[in-house]
Order: sequence, then structure tokens, then C-alpha cells
Amino acid sequence: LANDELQRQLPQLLPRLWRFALRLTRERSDAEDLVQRCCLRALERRLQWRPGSALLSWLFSIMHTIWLNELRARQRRRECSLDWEDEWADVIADVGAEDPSLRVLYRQVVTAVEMLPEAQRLVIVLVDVEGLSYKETAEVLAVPIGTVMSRLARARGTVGQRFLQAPEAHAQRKGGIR
Amino acid sequence: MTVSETMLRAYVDGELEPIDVERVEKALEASEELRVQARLMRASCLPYRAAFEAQRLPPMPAGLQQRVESWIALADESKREIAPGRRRWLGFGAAVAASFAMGLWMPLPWRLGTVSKDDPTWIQAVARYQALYARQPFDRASVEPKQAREMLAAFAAQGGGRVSIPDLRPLGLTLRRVQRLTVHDRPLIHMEYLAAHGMPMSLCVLAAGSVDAALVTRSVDGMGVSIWRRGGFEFALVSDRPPSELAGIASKAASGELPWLYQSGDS
Repeated sequence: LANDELQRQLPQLLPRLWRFALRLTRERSDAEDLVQRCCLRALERRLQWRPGSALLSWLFSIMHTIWLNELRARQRRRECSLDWEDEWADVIADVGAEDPSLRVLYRQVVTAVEMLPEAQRLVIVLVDVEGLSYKETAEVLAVPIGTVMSRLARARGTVGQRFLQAPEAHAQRKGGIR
Repeated sequence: MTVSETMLRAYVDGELEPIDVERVEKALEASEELRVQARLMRASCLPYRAAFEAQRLPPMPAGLQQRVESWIALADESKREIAPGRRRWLGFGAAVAASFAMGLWMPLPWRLGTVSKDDPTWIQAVARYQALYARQPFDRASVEPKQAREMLAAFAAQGGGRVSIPDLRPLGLTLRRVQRLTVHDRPLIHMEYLAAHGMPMSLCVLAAGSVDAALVTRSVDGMGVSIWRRGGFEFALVSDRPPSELAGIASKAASGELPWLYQSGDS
């Protein structure tokens, strides 16, 4: 039954896997490859998934592990991803918000998060963007919950510092930072 | 009084009971350090989810959903046919292998775009690309000569030079596919050959714009690669064959003793 449930839910979760893969890799061809490999591995190991547990975080966990291994392999091969920044700049593009100050704020938020150290950036993406619980995030990243909380606190603190230094858009939305 | 970080966070988030609000505000009046901490927390209350959801991300590739659904169907199939336990996974593995033959797996040509512009990395990229291939997709593939010639002519024109591409067929190989890829805006021709046995071998040609260079053979990510440059084009022969065997084939191709598959000026 676990198999059936996984196979039923997997196609519906593909857009979220795609989004998370893009945010992990910051490059669309890597993201496509990563989603493929994640789905294949999930299907190979479908008996390991416990029915009733969160399928999305299990899939994120598989994807994160594959990506870490890929990065390690690339490091061994001394392959640099020199183009990522530029590629990602295209992906950031414009946001759909009509309100110009909101658009600026969103852009500042995304930029501030993207500048975080990788471990902190991922925690923000999983908790604040994907809406995973601390426990689920800890499982995805294979770290203790306390580590998730401290990374999140540091990440939010760092982002907050940046907004204190350049608060224009945030101030417009919030009525000023006290 | 002492205000914990949790309480301060709840105050900043507006989730504190009124009685506690009063206590925290008194503490804030008394402590500059606490006020700074609260300002930081307030500044970090940001619309993360809305900001990221407003990003214009690239759409999910059209074929991806179809491929995954095909694998799910294969997983169902293998579950029905193979006994439970370890062999079930082997069944799925075999089913996925079969999917290669049916064209359900698409190696991603644009993976080539993820490497740097330096020549050694394009070689790495084609080696990794070649390592993705199994034999099955090419068993029944064939090249339409006219289309291949047109593609090679367009490639040569775009490369800005006269190119002579050796034909490996006299060595007992059959040409199964010719495709044009791109590495950092530079056109690349990728020709897939198949012998009677073994994995495919590819001959890649890239407009290099540099001086001629003699043949060298090396191992890249577990694949053998023979590289040479001639007339402003760089050639790479990529295969999992032993380096000495690969070098022998490449030597014939690089020395001009084989006929040309395509030569600029051909009609």
C-alpha cells in the first residue's frame, strides 16, 4: 500500500520537487537531472518510505542527499560552477507584484537569503518558504532539531541585519523600523 | 527581569499575552541590548514565502512529468511481475533499463552548459555526457544522410572555418546519430557511433579558434578521451574503451587516413 500511495502522490509533488531542485542547484539543467534522479531513487526505495510520514520531506531528504554527493563529486573533479550566479540572476527576474515597493521588498528578501551561507539558506528555504516543520527540516538535512533552530535564528538575524542597513522597501511596508 | 529570546520573539511577532507585553516593554526600556535584539528580530520578520513565491522560476520541463509517470508505470509493472523483497527493486532496475530502449530516459544535452568556458572543462562535460549513455537507444537508430550533411554544413558555417570531419565507419563502426549541442554559446557537433559490441563511442567537434594541436589521450571521469585540434576546430573522441584502443582509433582519425564524413565545400 505504501508503494501505491507513493506512486499516486509523486506526480502531484513534482512541481514542488522542481522548485526545491531549482533552489538547491540554482541551475535548471542540474535541477532537471536532480529531479529525475530523486524520483528514480524514491521509486527504487519505495519500500523504505513509512506510510503516514511526510512524503514531501522524505523526497526532499533524498534530493538533498543526492545533491550533496554530486557537489562532493564535483569538488573532487575540481569542477567549478562559475556560471551559476549569472544563470540565477536570470531566474530571479521580475516578481509578479503590482506594488513597486512590494516588488523591491521581495527582491531584497530573496537577495538577502541568497547571500546567506548555504546551510542557513537551506533552512530558510525549507522552513520559511516550503513550510516544513523544524522536525521535518531536521530530517531532510540529517541534523538535530537544535541545529535547525540555531541556523534559522542566525539566518534570520543576518537577513535582519541587512535590512537594518538598507531598510528602504521594508520601511515603506512596515511603517519604519524601530 | 530576564526576557528570554523565545519571549522576545513572541513579543515581536505580536503573540504575547498582554501581561507579558507589559513586562517585556519594561525590560526593553531598561536594556539597550534588549532593544537592539528586538530591532533585529523585527527587521527579520520578512515575507519570505511571498517573496520566493513571487519569483519567476523556469517552468518544469514538459517531458519531466511524462518521464516520471513512465517510471511509475514501470515500477507498477515490475511489482506485478517480480517476487517481493530484493528482487522487486531489481525488477524496477530492469524496467528502467528497458525504458532507455523506449526513449523514456532523456540524457540532458544542456548539462553541457554547467561547466566553465575553459577547454578542459568542455572535455569533462562531454565525457560525463557520454557516460550517461547506454547502448540500447542506438541499436535501431539511424542517420538520415541529407539532414546530417545540412547540420554539419550549418555547424561549419557557424564555426567560421573549413572543417573536415573524419568518418569512422571504415573501422567497423556504424553512425547512429548526429546532433548539435551548445557549450557556452559555442556550437558542438556530437556524433554517436556503435560497434558490434560495447557501449557507444562519440566523436565531438567544437569550434576552437586556436592553433592546431597534436593528439593526446587521457582519462576523464572514467571515460577515455582523445583530443586533437585542426583548422580552428577541436575534436574529441570519447569512449569507455581502453586508452590504447581509443588512441589507435583517434590516431587514424586525426592523421587524415580515414575518408571524410563531411568536408566544407561538400554539396
